[in-house]
Formats: sequence, structure tokens, C-alpha cells
Amino acid sequence: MSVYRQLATRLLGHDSLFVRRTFGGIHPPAFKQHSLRSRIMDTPIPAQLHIPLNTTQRESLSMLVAIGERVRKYQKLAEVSLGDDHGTSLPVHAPTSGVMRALALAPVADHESSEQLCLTLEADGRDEAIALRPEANAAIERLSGAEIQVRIRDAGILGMGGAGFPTAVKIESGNGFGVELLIINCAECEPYISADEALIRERAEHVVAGAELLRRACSARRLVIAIEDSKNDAIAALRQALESETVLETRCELIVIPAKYPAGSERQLIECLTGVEVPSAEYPTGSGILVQNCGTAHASYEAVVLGRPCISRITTLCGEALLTPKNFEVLLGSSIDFLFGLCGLKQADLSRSVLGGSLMGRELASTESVVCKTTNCLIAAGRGELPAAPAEQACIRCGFCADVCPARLLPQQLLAHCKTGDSIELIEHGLLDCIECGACDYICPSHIPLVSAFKDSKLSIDERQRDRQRSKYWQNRFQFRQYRIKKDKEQSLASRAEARKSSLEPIEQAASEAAADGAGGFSKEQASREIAAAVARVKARRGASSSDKDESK
Amino acid sequence: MTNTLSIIIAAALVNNVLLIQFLGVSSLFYGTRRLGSAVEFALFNFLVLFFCSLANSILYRYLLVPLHLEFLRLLTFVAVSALFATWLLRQLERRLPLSARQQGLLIFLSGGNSAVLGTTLLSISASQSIVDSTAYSFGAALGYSLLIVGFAALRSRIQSADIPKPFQGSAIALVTAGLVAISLLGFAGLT
Amino acid sequence: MLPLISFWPVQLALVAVFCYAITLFIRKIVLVALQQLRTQRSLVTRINNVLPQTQCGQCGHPGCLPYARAISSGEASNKCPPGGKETLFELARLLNEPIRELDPAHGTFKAFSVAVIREEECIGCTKCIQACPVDAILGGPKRMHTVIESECTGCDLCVEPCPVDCIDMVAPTAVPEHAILDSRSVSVQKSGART
Repeated sequence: MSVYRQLATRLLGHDSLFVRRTFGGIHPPAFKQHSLRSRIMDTPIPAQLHIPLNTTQRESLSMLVAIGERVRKYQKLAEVSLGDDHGTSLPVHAPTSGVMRALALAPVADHESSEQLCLTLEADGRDEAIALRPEANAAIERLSGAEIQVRIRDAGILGMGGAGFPTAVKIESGNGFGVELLIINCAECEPYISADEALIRERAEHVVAGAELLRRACSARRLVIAIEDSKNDAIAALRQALESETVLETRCELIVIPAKYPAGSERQLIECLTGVEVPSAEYPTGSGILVQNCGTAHASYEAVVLGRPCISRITTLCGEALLTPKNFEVLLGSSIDFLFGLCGLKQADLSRSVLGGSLMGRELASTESVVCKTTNCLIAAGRGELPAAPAEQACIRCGFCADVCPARLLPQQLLAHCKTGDSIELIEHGLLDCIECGACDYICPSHIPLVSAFKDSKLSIDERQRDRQRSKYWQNRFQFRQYRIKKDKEQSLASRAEARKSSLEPIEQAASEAAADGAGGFSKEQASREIAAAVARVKARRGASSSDKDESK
Repeated sequence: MTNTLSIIIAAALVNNVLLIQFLGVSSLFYGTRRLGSAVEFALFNFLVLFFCSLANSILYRYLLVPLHLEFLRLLTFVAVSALFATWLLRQLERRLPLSARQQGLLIFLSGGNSAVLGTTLLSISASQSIVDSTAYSFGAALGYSLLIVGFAALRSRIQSADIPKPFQGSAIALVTAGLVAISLLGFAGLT
Repeated sequence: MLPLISFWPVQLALVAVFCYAITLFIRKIVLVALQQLRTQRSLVTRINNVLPQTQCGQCGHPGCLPYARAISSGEASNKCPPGGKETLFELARLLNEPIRELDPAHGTFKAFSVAVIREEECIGCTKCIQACPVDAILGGPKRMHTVIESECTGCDLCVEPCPVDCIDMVAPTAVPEHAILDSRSVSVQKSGART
């Protein structure tokens, strides 16, 4: 069925947008109401900020300020190169004014890495900013897609949904393929996270304006904002923003999708709206679709219209160990200790601190970690709130995991093959399509840690790939060695032949010379003549000596 | 037409050669260890079963019966089956060398298989017309091959399962075969 | 059942299904055969590509290619310890054979190790250089020998010939090229952050 759906979508264009019921998914309780009780608040300026630079190599940094220098808010501090072929780099800006103190590795609250190089900024509390250059509406209308892209890049915007891919690069790769549909992802499906919802219900016009700017940047034909049906306030705010006069003219549609985990995953969202199933080895841009988070859209608005680079983000702080959970507009580089303190942390009740939601989140080693551009939620879990799992039991073949898998995989079979370690079977069963959402983990009655097993197996598949490449390399070296030995042998034979030839040469030369003198080399007559001459000489000598002897007597 | 179809279905499912009449069960256990090789094996067995059975019933009806040499039928059938299986195996070796690695046992399993002999004997006794004989052979061969492939798929699922030590290997295969045989009894209702 | 079959559309449908099934069967055979005929790489090459190319000789053959040839002529494929479990699986899949355990007579699975020469004891005899199948040892006669760690395959063919026994097999220190994730921290749901 999906093949025909895909074909129809391609033929009809993306006009065939409607909400489909996607396979699988779970409905865990949301736990978002506590952090949504109040409006987004700004944090006071912390004493120290460790601004993450998204890298661990000093070589990929080009610093624009020195240690000990005084900087102002919004000032560009460094350019971090991404290490790809195009030499793209992402700038980092100062979140507040102060003095640069150090450049060192520090723990960062990021989904991918636990440590990054950070610039330590000692804030002076004055919050002096450099002058921003906002654009007038008329000027914005005239901006071309490429110019918008440049401003987005210069503001250092990356994917705020959690992936952290530089937005300008994503748009550019989309331009290469030709993007027809831009989807703004406001479906925050994971429990505990409410940052996007809070952003939308307060700043919907900015989000919509940012979405339109992104649409122009990637020259998409169609713009859609997708949101879950459980976020009523946000939907109302968006509807109002779309109907009223906004900063920019938009041709934007709002589509409400059924609330389900994981509806907000990029590929699941695309499948829900368009029916297109993007292969796991490809990106959605290959199908002409680009998906951006609403936080990214908001940041794009600020970058282009207000001229404000990316120095803060909305982060949800929640959990039972906090007295007042809420959404904060957090300056990048603020430590988690500081933020928990703002919410009234009950230290005695804190059992663990988690980055992200309760299903895909990662436990943080220490609360000294700092916030980076992809930190969407921090949970200060109270006692018994996110408990350790009961012991793993045997698989009872209930099949619930296959019922809930959004990628239509068979976690039961995948687990069996993970245990034996058969990479080819795993790949055939689609392990590379697994989005590691944790739905199968959640539903398993035997508490089997499925996602960990799949992550480990993916790593061992990668390792196997590397081993194969290494084996090929060794094979080449071995073959070269065989070739070298053969060549050496041939050469030594050749040189020995040469040497033998050269040692035989004087003999041959003498023989040829002799042949040139005499009548064709050695001849008996000549020899007998020479012998006769020699005998005659000896006789003459004897005759002379005997005559001498006779005379002496 | 109706009769032919019902004969085919009956031969394939209701009176399945492999798990209802239990002929040639050794190939069920040896030939089904990997799905890929089982498919090749099943195909080979299908060809051997069908054509041997067909050739034998033709020989019987048009050669042995008119000459009143029915008592030579066992000898003839075994000779023809063995020859055909060997010839087919040689063809296989040449074209599909990977499969030829199992040549040692294939000849024994296919040519000397009681299923081949059994199908032939049943087909000549089951019906009087040559069309019915052909239908019976075809159905029997089809049922046999399908079951080999299905059982191989089952075993590949079992391979990755967590089986208790005493049951690993042949024991679980026998248990599975028994369960599949019971499930085939469900077809008994079809005429 | 019989009354149903005597209904002619049902008969037609059944015949059509049978014919379709048979054509699928025949198509599969033809494709497999064509693919096998069309494949440029021989069975030996395919087996060789699966083997780990350490040229260590633990299988009883002087290298990976000789063993590949032996396998294609019928030898057991479970004699390669450096290949690990994956090689056993892949060879079984390639040869359409059941998966077997590693033959204990030919060794056990061990962690990857590289050779290291204790330089104080090296006498510069070049015996290990001649033994190394991938030329991973640097040195000359009466000169210091040293193993280039990034090229060493861990085959330990150099350990035997050394007359002063100065070569050890140790765990590699080099970090693999493709960096492993530097945080493989336990994800929350493993410890049951379920709500």
C-alpha cells in the first residue's frame, strides 16, 4: 500500500497532504503540565558561563578573541569548523558581556558527546551588548533565499530539536536536491519536554515569521506547521498568528496530528503527513522534504529580523526534585547547578539528573554540565520518579514490541539476532532503520533493555565494517609484499646474469683479439712453429753456453 | 478439471507425503538447516519427485502392464529414479557450484529417498488414468517441496532462539516436526 | 469442499494461482542461475574476501587464500580464530551450510593484539622482518627492528623466528580511525525511566 501511496504523492505533488494514521507508537503520560504552568522566564546572568564550542579538537577552532579580553554581548567569539569538505564553519557568540577566562574541556549536556571544548566567560553583570542591526520589513521582503541563508549561518543557528545539525548546511543540501515541502516540527511528543509548546504559545507570530524565512531560504513551494492535538494553547496561538497580520506574508498551513510517541521524529512525521517513507540510508531532502524544529524557526526570525545571533534557547526544567519546574530562556553555557538552583532544587530528593525526556533521555554524570544549543530538557528526578528497571526476564514472545515499533521492525527477532551477533541477519531485519525511540523498551513486559542491545549491535556492525576495510588493507599489503619479493628475486637473477656476463667479458675479449691477430684463433701449425722456434732458441743458448764451457776448459 | 484439482490439493496437503505419510523424513532434517540451501534442495526434490513419478507411472502403465511384468516394478522404479537423480545432480554441479558442495548427500537423499518410491507406488495404485497419475505426482511433489522450505524457515527462527541445552539440535527439530505434522492434520477436512 | 471446486471461476482462480506460483518459482531459479553465471568473482575470491587476511596460518594453511581454496574444495569453514564469530556466520551463509562452532583444535577467539619488540634485546637479525606477511616491521641487518603498530595484523608469525624471543603480543594502543562515540552513557530507559 505504501508504495502506491508514495507513487501517488510523487505524481500529484505534495498537494496530497493529509494526516495518516502511522503504525505503532505508544501513549505514555505526558507530565508536561507542571512546567507549563507559568510563562517562559529569563534567567538572571550567572557568574560564569562555559560556552560550548561543539568540538573537542583545538585545530578546528579559529578564535577571534584572546583569553583575558573583555567582550560584549552578541560579540562573535570563535568560528568552529565542521570538518567537512566545504570548510563550513559555525560561529559562536557571547551570551553576555564579561571577560574571557579560559578555553578548556568541560562537561556539556549534549545528547551525543559528554565533553566539549568550552570558552569560560566571567560575566561582569553589566550585559553590555554590541549594536544589533535589525532589518526593516521592506528590506526583509527583498532578501533573497541565499541572503537569508547567510544570516542564518552567521547567527550560528543549528537544529534545536536535539540533532544539532547546522541549519545553513541543511538548507544548502536541500537546495542541491530541490525542496518542495518545508515542515516545521512542533510535535513535541516525548514526556516531560515542553520547551517547544511554551515557545509557541507565547511567540507564535515569531515562529511563523521564522518559518516563512526558512521557506524562502530553501525555496520550498509549500510550508506546513505540524503540531500535536494535545497542545491546545499552542494551536490556538498559532491559529491566531496565521490569521492576523504578521510581520511577514506567509502561505502557511497548520496541520494537527494525533498525539503519539514518537510522532515528532522526523521520518515518522513525514510519513504521517505525506505518506513518504524515507529510506534510512537517505535524508528527507532526497524526497524533496525539509523538516525544521520550531525553535530553529524562532531563532531564524531573531537572526534575520532582529539581527540577534543565537545565544540562548528555551529549556524545560522539570522533575519532582524541583520546587518550581518551568521553562526558562537559558543563556548558553549556564551550568545545570545554577538552573536547578533557580527552580529550587531539593537536593535530598534528587535521585538522578537526566538530559532530554524520559524515553530517549540520557543520564548526566554531573550537574556541573553546561547547557548547549541542543539542550531541550533537564529533569531533576525525585525519589521513585524515574526508577531503575526491574531485572531483565526472558522474552515471552508477546509481540507487543512489534505492535508499537514506529519503523515497523520486529524487535523480538532483532533481539534474538543481537544475542547471536549475526550482523547480516540484523541488517536484513532492518536494524539500521531503528530510530532508537524506546517504544519497544517501554512496552516490554519482561523489562528487556532492547534499545541498549540495538545500540550495541549497531556499534558492532560498524566495527565489522571497519574490520572488513582493515582486512582489505592488509590484503593489499600482503599482495604488495608478494610482488616485492618476486621483483627482488627477478632483479637479483638479472643482476647475477649481468655480473656473470661482465666477468666473462675480459676472457671473451682476449679470445676475440687473438682471433683478430692470427689466422682464425688457435691453429696447430702456428703452435708447432712457435714450439720449433722456442726449441731452436733453447738449442742456440745451450750451444753458446757449451762452446763457452769448452773454451773455459 | 475439478477432479484433477482436488487430487492435487489432496496429494499436497491432505495426504502430504512428508508429514502425514512420513516418507522421506530424513531429508526434512538434513536439508533444512539453512533456508537458502533448503530452497535449492526443495526445488531439486520437486523435480526429482515429479518427473520420476511421472516417468515411472508411464513406464508402468504402458510398458510393464501390457507385458504382464508388474512384479518388476520396484526394480524399474528404483533404477529410473536413481538415474534421473544422478543426471540432475550433474547438471546442478555444473551450473550452481555452491550447491554442489552438498552433492554427497543430495544423491542419497533424492534418488534413494523413500518418498520417490512411495509417491510412484501410490500414484499408480491411486488412480487409473494417466492424467490423474500426473496430478497426484505433481501434488505430492509440490507438498513435499513446500514443506521442506517451510520447515527450513521454521528452523532458521529456532536457530536464534534461546533453547534449553538438552533440546538443542535434533531434539527441537523433532518436536517442531511433530507440531507441524499435527497442524497439517487440520487439512483433513478437505476432501 | 468438492462443491466449491466444481464452481468454474474457483477452478480458474486456483489454476491461475498455481500458474503464478510456478512462474515465480521458475523466475527465482532463473535469476539465481543467471546471477551465479554473471558473477565475475569466483567462489574462492568471495570466500577470501570474508576471511580476515591476517595470513597467520592458524587454520593449518599458509595463508588466507590457500585456506579459501581449501574451503571451496570442501574443507570445513570453522577454522579461523582471527575472523571472529562474524566470519563463521558469513562463511556459513555464503556456503549455505549450518553455522558451526569454531574448531577448538585451531585456536580460540582472542582479543586483537599487536606485536611489540623489546628493543634492548633486539639483535638485528631480520628474521622477524622476513616472517612478517605485511611488512609491518621496520629495520635492516644489524639495525634496530621495530613494529609499525598501525600496520600489524596480530598474526604473531614474527614471535617464533626471533632467536632472542624479544617480541610480545600486547593490546593495541592506537585509537581506531573512526572515533567511537565518546559518550556511551546509559540511556535512561535502560534503567527504567518509564512513567
